[in-house]
Amino acid sequence: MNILNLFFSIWIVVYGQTTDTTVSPEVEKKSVTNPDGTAEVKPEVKPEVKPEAKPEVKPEAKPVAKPEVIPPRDPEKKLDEVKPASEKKKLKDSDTGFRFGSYGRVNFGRNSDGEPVYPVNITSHGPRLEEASYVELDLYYYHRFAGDILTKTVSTLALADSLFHYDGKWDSSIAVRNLFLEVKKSGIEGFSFWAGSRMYRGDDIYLLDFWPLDNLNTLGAGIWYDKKPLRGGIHVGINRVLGKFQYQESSVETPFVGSQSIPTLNRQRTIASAKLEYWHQIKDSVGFKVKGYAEFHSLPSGTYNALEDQPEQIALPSETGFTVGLQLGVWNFAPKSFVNVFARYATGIAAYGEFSTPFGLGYEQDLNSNYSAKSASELVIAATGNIMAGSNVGIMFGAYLRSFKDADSVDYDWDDGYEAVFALRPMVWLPSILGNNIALSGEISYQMTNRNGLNPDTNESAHPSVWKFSIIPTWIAGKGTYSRPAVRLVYTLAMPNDDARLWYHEKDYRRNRSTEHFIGIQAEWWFNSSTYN
Amino acid sequence: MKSRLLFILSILALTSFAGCDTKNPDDIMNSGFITKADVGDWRDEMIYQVLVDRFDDGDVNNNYNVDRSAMAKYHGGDWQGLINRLDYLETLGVTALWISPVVRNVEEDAGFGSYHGYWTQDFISVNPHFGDLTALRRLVDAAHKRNIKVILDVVTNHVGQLFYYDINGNGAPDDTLMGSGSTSPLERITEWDPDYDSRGIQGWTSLGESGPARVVWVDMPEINRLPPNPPEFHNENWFNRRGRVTVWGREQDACTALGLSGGPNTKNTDCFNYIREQEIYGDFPGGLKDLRTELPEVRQALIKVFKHWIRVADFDGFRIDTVKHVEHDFWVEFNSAIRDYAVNTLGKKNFFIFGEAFSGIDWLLASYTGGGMFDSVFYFSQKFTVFDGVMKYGEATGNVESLLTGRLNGVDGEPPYAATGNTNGPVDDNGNLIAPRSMLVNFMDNHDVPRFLYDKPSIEALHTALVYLYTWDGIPCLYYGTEQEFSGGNDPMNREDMFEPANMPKDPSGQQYKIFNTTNPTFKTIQTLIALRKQYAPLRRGGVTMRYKSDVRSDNNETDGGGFPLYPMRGIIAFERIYGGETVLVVMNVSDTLTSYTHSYSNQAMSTSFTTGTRLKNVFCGDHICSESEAATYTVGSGGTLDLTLGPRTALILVQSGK
Repeated sequence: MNILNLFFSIWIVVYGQTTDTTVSPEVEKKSVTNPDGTAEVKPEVKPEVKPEAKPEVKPEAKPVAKPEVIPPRDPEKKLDEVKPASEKKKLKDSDTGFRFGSYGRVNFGRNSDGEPVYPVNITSHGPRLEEASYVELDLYYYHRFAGDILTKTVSTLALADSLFHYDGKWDSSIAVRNLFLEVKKSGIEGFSFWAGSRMYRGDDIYLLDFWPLDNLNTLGAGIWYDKKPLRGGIHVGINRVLGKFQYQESSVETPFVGSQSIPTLNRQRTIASAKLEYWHQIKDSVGFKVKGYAEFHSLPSGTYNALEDQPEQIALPSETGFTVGLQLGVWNFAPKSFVNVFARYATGIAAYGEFSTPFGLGYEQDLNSNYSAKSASELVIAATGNIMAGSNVGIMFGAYLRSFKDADSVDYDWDDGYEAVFALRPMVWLPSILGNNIALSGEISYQMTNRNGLNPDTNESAHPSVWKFSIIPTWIAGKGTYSRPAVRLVYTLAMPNDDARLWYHEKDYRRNRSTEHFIGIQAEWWFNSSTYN
Repeated sequence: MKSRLLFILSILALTSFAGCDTKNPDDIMNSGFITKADVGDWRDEMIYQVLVDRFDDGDVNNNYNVDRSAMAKYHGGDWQGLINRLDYLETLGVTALWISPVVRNVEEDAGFGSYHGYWTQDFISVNPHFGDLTALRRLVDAAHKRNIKVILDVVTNHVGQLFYYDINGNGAPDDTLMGSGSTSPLERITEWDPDYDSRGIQGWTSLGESGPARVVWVDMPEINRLPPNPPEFHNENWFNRRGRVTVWGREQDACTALGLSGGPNTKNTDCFNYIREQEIYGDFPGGLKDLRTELPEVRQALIKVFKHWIRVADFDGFRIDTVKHVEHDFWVEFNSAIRDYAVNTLGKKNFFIFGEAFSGIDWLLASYTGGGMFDSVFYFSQKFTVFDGVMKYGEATGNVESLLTGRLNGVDGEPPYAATGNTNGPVDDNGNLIAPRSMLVNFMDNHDVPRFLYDKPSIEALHTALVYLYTWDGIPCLYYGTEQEFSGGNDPMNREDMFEPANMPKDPSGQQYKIFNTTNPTFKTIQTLIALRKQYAPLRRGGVTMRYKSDVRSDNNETDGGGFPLYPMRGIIAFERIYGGETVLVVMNVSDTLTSYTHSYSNQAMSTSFTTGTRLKNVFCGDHICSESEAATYTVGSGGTLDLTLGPRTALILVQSGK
């Protein structure tokens, strides 16, 4: 709580100082026109196909990098003029100062029995309508130096879990999601660089709260290049999550009397990533981009004690992992419209994501090869988009297919399999009746999984699936599906099939419900969020 | 635009599915029974007993609560480990695998783990320590592809420690109770595991008894100490609730203390009946709650759950635990129903059911054979009489003959082992039921007794015992690790890890063999014996005729006035196995230090069924089958006698030369 108090103290001071500069048009515009792939995510958002990956609340995610905010390109302009306006704009002394931003959502509601809303999801990234409340508070300090040098510090505090006014518990789960310095104008044309602790990612599937291609959280540093049709960056970072795969402490004697804990396994994961985008503007303002992406993960070897009070040691071999991916994006084929398509393939430890402790490890006759994730793989193919038909009708969609194979050689493995999700959310404005800020919306989604193994609870094969239908009357700040803030009244009918409900324990009241009715209210906002910079 | 979008999504879907490494577990579960027609004469089988947790760790991902520093906890072995080592077992010559129980257990009790599998909590779920159901099925299928049968270890007598008796009514499972211990030497009696009471466990307060103690089921998911599954077992009336057996090891003292007449081994005496009452109705020590198997609904429930395992995992037989703790008529109903289901519903010919009645009382063991009950039992009386008495401790080899006589003719006026097989039971090549007495399961040690080498740390003694195991009639059963010369003492020290290099024997240079080595002398000896048993049908199916034995101890070194041994035959065991017109003569000397003889002096001539002048050759050269050039040959003397001289701990397997 000390960190929380400190942050709020700073926030109060800063917010008080900068209320008339934080929302300056220049900064706001700048912040939304440079989708260089930065974003946030919580560790547990990494997709895993595990038996325990049952429907659960994932409060952490938020929308990022909305393609609709990509500036319309003037086809008559030369390519170098396509560069975001912020990069061309001469900085002023007034750029120095604090800014504040935020992403947040507060959701509450009940089902037909008065119980809380819970996500009826069976996939790693199900539809987000039932997500729990979550907020990020972004604090920026811009400093312009002589010689046109501009730096930016970013601190982002994220809060998840229940709110005090819900459970009466004077506590909250918090995390520092960003803490880095970026040299925006380095003095070398087109190049910027950064260092620190940072969410580092690209475009998402908003409806599924999922970043299907690039999505890293590390302590690291990177260089960003942005000039003419090309933009891209490289980054190297590290992490060392807690868990016996990377970290273990053991109790040892002190030189005198007593014991002390020392790290006996402390191996850091090194992650290098590279992304390169080519942007092009064609006639009629239609633009497209092609993005290539790659990651390399590395872990040194180590040993850990199977039991902390026993001497037996288990060898953990060194590990590597690779990710390659491709994204195709097209926008402005209609106003405020875009489509992104992604493909990603990962192997080894990269298949699990940077924050996950690998499971389903390989085992070889050579004991030194035990506990290796080298044979794991993941394939994701995804699509997302928003299409506006005129100014009063829009439809958002998101879908992905994902297969996962863990590192062991068992074919009929509950850890292995594939999953698929799609979600559609149309929105309609009736300005003559309801004005420009009331939209009628709905969502339909379907999700399914297919595991290669038997359900460990039933010893039978399982093919869970869930249909959901939602009605979402919305107050929204503008006529656009991505306009925010928004307040929604949500009714959802969820229909898990028998196999889906078997994921709940037999004593869980949800197990016997073939339909679930939720009604709730949601408030969601983002402004000047670190997501966009 | 809409059509283009749909097209893109369709391509994506197809591409993605094509890239998925998809498997359908139904494929393996519905793959059919591979060997239902391949199980032949069970006398041909070489059983290998495996404690799954101790054999090999094939999947590190199921190593929950593994602590290899403690012999009484899980060590990580699993079914994948067995799959990985089928080559090893096939190299040894194993044809049937008896695996420890597969069902979900209470995880631990009093710091002890359920790695052995005998603490059932859920009769129809697999123990996740060993893998999932597909892993079990893959094991069975992989074994079947090598024509290795798989036998499931089954417990019907009891479940794990799933409830306690609230004797003092305080609603908590107390470890100590004032006033308890009066009928046993135990000073500490817990409400989990109180002493036997014929009336059922009684409540007790400071004012005296208070009526039947309440049964309290426990909900401790962290150690899987939960009410039993299927839910119908969650019924206290399905349990006898009389507390633990207290008489073992002090049977006569217990009878004396209660003023009961007769002896514990004398049928129909008060003492014997009391011992049997405790065994049948008492909880198995350790708080393992005794099922009330006399109830028809309990019987049907047990039949149902164990049919399930044959159906889903394609087992070829059952080894049934704690047979003597269940009334005889249960076995008639249960085993008959299981056999009927396996044979007539699933089409699994020759489903084999054998039981473990841990007793040296020969006629008691015999009482479970035939009559719809067991196709065979573990030959415990042989283990005690021959492998312990004769092979380890030098007792007279004449005991072998006595045991054989009892098997065929009965002991103490009680019926012998059944001469008629059970309906739907195993048959021979001609479709005739095989008599249980012809296929008793022979063993020298198992997971419940010290290993042979613990009691008798002599490789030579082990090897002669192995010759007996693989040449005597019945079905040989080898406890895992014997071939690696394991020498652990009582449970749990006799449950060593096969995957632990330090447990391996040492080669002549003093270096330890690698794990699962196939070159150490004992492995090769067993491999040779199995090969000979496979090669010579009489060793598998032949009847047995004793040809020579001694009525004195094998270490008897008395001499006559001329310095000649007074009992030159000390330590000699000789018997013939005859089948299909072929005879194999096995002769061994189990004396540790003395050379013994079958010389025909002092009227001690060893007669055989061979005709005079028949040339015999020895085919057993220890770690290999003798080649023609190295095979020692012998000529049968007049009247079919054979004069042999055998050094200490040597054995000959003689066949007619030229065959």
